[in-house]
Amino acid sequence: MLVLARKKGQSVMIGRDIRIVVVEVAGETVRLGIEAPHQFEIFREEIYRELREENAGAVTEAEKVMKMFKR
Amino acid sequence: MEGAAGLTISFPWGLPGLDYYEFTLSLLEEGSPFYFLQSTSQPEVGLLLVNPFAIFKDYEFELAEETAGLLRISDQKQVAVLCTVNTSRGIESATVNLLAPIVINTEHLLAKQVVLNDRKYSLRTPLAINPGAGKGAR
Repeated sequence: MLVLARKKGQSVMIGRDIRIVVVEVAGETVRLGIEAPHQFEIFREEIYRELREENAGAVTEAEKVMKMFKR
Repeated sequence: MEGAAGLTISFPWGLPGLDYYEFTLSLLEEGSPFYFLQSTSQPEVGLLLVNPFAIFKDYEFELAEETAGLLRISDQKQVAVLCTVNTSRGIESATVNLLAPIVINTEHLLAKQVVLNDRKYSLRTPLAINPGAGKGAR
């Protein structure tokens, strides 16, 4: 992994189109500003992981759902 | 929203965790807030969905301009919002994903699951389902 030191207000470019700015540093928390083309979805990683698990876990079959609602 | 039943909808950005991009959306029962989303390529892959506004009266979020653009939404009338329901732990322990609703353009048949920035909503909000009535209640 590439590791760079940045100060508040400084940024990092990824390619030509993605820019990540350090907006604020307060104790353990870093606030980042991200500029990227719309086709790039931006997620907090832990939420993205949880969402993947949640979607995969919610998969069911029509038959099961029908049974559930016919009770 | 009733008009969105029995439609083939594409999810060009997919659904995180699922590798399917086209689904059929149908209303579970007349008058019910529940829908079933079924993969067109893999019929055994489906998701139970619910109209969140029918159950959570205070539920609201602002659709990001970028998302509206991606879904080619130009009029609010084109928009439907449904949330996934997880019944894997049994119907008594059903939960609904209010943090990542599915936004559908019912006119262009495009949909995307969006992650809200609002920390008051959860991926697993308890949902009481009354199977007899086919309707959910808090």
